[in-house]
Amino acid sequence: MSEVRPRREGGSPGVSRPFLRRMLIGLCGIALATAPIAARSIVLDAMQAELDRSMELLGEQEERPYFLSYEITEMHRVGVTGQFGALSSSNESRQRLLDLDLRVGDYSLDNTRPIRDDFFSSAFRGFGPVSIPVDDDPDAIRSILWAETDKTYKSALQQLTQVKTNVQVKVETEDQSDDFSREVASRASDEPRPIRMERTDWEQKVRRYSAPFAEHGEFLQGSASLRAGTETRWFVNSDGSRIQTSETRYRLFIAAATKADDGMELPLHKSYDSFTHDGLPDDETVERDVRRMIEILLALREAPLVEPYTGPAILSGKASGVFFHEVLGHRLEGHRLKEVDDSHTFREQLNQRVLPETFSVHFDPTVRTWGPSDLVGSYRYDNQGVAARRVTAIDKGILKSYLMSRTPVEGFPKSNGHGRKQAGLKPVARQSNLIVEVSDPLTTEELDARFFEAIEAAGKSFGLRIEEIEGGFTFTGRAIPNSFNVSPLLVYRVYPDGRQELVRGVDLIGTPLVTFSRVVAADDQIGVFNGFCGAESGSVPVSAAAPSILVSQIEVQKKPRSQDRPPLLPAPAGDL
Amino acid sequence: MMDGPKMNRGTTWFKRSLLPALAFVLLAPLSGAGAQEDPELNVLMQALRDELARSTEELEMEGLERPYFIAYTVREIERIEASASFGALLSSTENKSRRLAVEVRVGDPTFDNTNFGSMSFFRNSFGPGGFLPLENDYREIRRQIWLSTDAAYKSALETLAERRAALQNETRAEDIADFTPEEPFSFYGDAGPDLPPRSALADLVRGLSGQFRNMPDIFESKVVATVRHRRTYYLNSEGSAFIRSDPIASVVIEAHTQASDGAELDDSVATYGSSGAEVDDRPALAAQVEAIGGSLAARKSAPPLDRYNGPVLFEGQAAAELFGQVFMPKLLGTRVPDAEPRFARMLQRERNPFLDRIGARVLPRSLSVQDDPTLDADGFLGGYAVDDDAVEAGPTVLVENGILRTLLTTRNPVPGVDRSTGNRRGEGPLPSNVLLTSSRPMTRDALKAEFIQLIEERGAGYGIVVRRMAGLGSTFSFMRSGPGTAPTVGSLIGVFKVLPDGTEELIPKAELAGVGEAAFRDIVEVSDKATLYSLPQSPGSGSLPSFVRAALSTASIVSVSVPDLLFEELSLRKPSGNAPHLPVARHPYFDE
Repeated sequence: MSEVRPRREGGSPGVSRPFLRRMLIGLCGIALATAPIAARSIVLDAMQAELDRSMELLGEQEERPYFLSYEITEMHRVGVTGQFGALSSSNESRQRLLDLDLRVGDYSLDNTRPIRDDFFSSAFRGFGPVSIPVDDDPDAIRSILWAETDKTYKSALQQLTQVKTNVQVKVETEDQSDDFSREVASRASDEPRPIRMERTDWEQKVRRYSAPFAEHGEFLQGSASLRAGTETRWFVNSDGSRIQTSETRYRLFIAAATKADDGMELPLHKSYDSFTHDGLPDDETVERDVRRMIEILLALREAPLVEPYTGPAILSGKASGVFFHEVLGHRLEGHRLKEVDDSHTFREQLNQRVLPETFSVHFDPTVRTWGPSDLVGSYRYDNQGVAARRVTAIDKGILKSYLMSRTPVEGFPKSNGHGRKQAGLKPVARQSNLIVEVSDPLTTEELDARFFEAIEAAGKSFGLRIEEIEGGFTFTGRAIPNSFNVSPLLVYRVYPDGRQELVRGVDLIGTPLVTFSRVVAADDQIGVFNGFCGAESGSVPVSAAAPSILVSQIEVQKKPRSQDRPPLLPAPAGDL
Repeated sequence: MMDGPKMNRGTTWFKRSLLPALAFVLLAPLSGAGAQEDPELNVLMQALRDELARSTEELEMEGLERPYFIAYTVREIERIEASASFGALLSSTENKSRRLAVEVRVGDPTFDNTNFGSMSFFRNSFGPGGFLPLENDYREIRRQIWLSTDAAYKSALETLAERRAALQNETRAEDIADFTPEEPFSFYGDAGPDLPPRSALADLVRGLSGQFRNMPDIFESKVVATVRHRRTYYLNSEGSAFIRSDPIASVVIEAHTQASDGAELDDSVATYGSSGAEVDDRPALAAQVEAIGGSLAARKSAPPLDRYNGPVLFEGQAAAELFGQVFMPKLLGTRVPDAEPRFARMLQRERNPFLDRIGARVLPRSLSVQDDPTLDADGFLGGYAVDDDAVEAGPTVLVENGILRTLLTTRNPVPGVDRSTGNRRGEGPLPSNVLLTSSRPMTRDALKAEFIQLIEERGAGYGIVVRRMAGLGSTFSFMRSGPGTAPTVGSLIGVFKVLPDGTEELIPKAELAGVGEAAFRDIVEVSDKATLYSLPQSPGSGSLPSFVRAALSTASIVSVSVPDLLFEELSLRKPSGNAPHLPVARHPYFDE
């Protein structure tokens, strides 16, 4: 048995929340005021010209489009990976993809309405992403816009005919809202941001960061990778929006894994996210974290397995952030409330209490940092050209709002700037920066005291403390149980006398409403989780900032376990 | 193409029983050491060798069999690609990777863990192995080899047990061995030429695709240039070893338009070579773009063919493409593995009919087919000195005077062919340079006269000559119809009606109906001049569109030399499916 003290991650002790908010607002104000006016954009002009021409010429047709938008996303990426001290990949790429939204019919009923009981018609609309020249050549760009607009228009006509019949043949939908919301036009122009990094320097760094893992033959993975990317988006639509935005993200990712003697694979990750190169940690910090990861992994190999358990648990800030993201966030994504096979968990809960009175939950893409951490889920405009805005989903425990794209649901006719997607896919309502705010947080000591009380009250000999987590997933449909899974990397068994012991082998599971009713209290230690969230509109960067929470009863189940034995021969030793 | 390779027939690097002699053998100078990289100093080879020695000596799961054969293959790939449309760059990419594949055999050569398909097939479908670091870090390379060998050995043990279990209650229909005995062989080839700068490829595709700005008849177009350097490092426990480079460069020009009745018309031309410089012949490529533009424009307004049965003359590229698509795949000795009963029927369906035709007539008596990887004449790109099993390459007579003599094989034998012909290229057998020859060829004029005579005999009013045949799908047709819809035979895109007086009328497009390898038995005559043509091939992915296959890192180039082919009777029809309407708006660039 080995004991390892958990380390608190993230948070911003010493900085009061109201001050932080003022500071953030101040920063945004400065950023907007000094944003340089970008040179006239050749790409935007070409898109605008072809959009105008298409609306004019297609407008002469019997069934004319009532809406058209073009979005071009340029992804410039640099990536280097080192594994056990050696460079395993180093590359750079630049591409531009087109997304086109052409609608026939009208706002209340158009070609994009899902055809009920016809999975294939909605799943396979359009085939593959369309590449746009990376050269700023208006003629070449327009020739592709023209060809794609024509194809999309023709398939939109077919879809509309199917939609109209489907609406007549099937029963009335529960949700009678429109297919598309009316929004005001937006105009913005960011200067494209360059990636500021020296690839050769980073090749050296990832070698250096991953080298210590090579000293341990029992490690099966030990890598460090840096991904830097600039995403520049050009957007025009027939409402008159004209937007050019550019954002750069840097992510350093350390991943290591070993295998216990019983075959269980034990992964551990650490990531550092920043909008700037300077925001990445220095060598000393990373090397210290790598040494710490090695210690934890070696301890995990020896750690005892946990059996399935129900009882009290503390979720650290990062873990509770992911917990809220999976359990709550995905069920507040507005478009799901009109999907006929979604379980509509929170549809009837509007203006009802779903969390303790002290809890509020916001989704705020306009906040760029939290304490020392950048929040990767921030943006200025969503993928439908709607300005990003803060949405208070839960106010003092009461459910107040959903996350909205331009797909309305009953009672929510407008977008609140959360229509998001990965380039090449159709936007739907997605999360941004999830922020859990607690009005009367406990200190860590107070939360621990409540935890010990809860363990005793439940008649348990121990509780669980969930620290680092890998991620999670949830099912929101009706066909399979409406449950979630959060996969911890680090779990401790905590005894009422304060002793704690590293354990392994469990995932946190549950159903949303029951689990939510068991959230008891939170502390003042905010943890930030930055990651990528995958759903029907692809992978989008998201963040969660949340305090540690005490849940009076959670359930854990055994993790799937590899059945392969550890390698038969010892790791090869010695150099050439 | 293969100047001054070092070939050491039968040099044994080490054998299990000869480990003490290892140092001596390794230090022995190899003959003809020149400009080539010295394999003995190659860190990668050294890591492979050291880990192979350890695995051969020590790898053993208690109570179970030890490996009887281990082979390591490392593919080092550097690839640059640029694509452009209408004069502007769509993408310019570069990739570098080093991948290790491990082959571990347990059992013995007559019955081992290979040639078995089961429902747990997907467990191993990607094969054991992994990515190696890009740089020669001895320790990390060995670590990866160690882990991959361990995984491969465990999986081999399980597969062998599964196979034995599946056959416990069955009598094998064909009792053939699993692994052919071969002499150890080593080869150290030159490193390939340097990669051209990416900017050179970008300039090339911008320039070529810009020519479409003068072609208002073309709706969409794309030019893609790729240079791929592949260096393979191989070592096995029988003492074979090689280092071989096979660079490929290609330029693919594609264009799409619609006929006046809306019918979709595509065209594409691919040029292959073994270096960027070899394919970068701008005047020739520029002429190809013009030719594609001209032919699509002509096809737009040509009257369509309804259906046709009668004599068909395949000329030039069309003859080579038809041979490559329809007949050549049947020359591969691809084995149908043993399988769990529920899996077996599915596999049997894909059984190559030529497996049962060795000794039978498959072509007219005047025709012969030979595969020759050692052919080093201008334009033949499929050659190599050693195959991916480290078997020395050599010519193989496949069809002699119409009779099928053998099939192209790897060390995985097939019924009737119990030795490797040295044709493993990637996961399975592939041809190299294939020559279709005739003992009584005709001049092209005489062939044409014979064709006209056939038309008259049939009283059909006209015959069909095919000059261009498409590969299995272009990017544009693939994007239109989605995956899984690739045709089994390419469309005919340069098709002409030939009247008895010799005059010709263009047809926009036609499809071959029900053509198979059997049709080649009824070839009437062939020309004396042959067309040399290259096409990318990848074992086991025959149904993929050619542009997808070409992009696979496993793709290899096969060159064929095929004369014009006159068939007494083939069936043609117009393309199936409805034609979409013409675009609502005109192309913006040509919309005055």
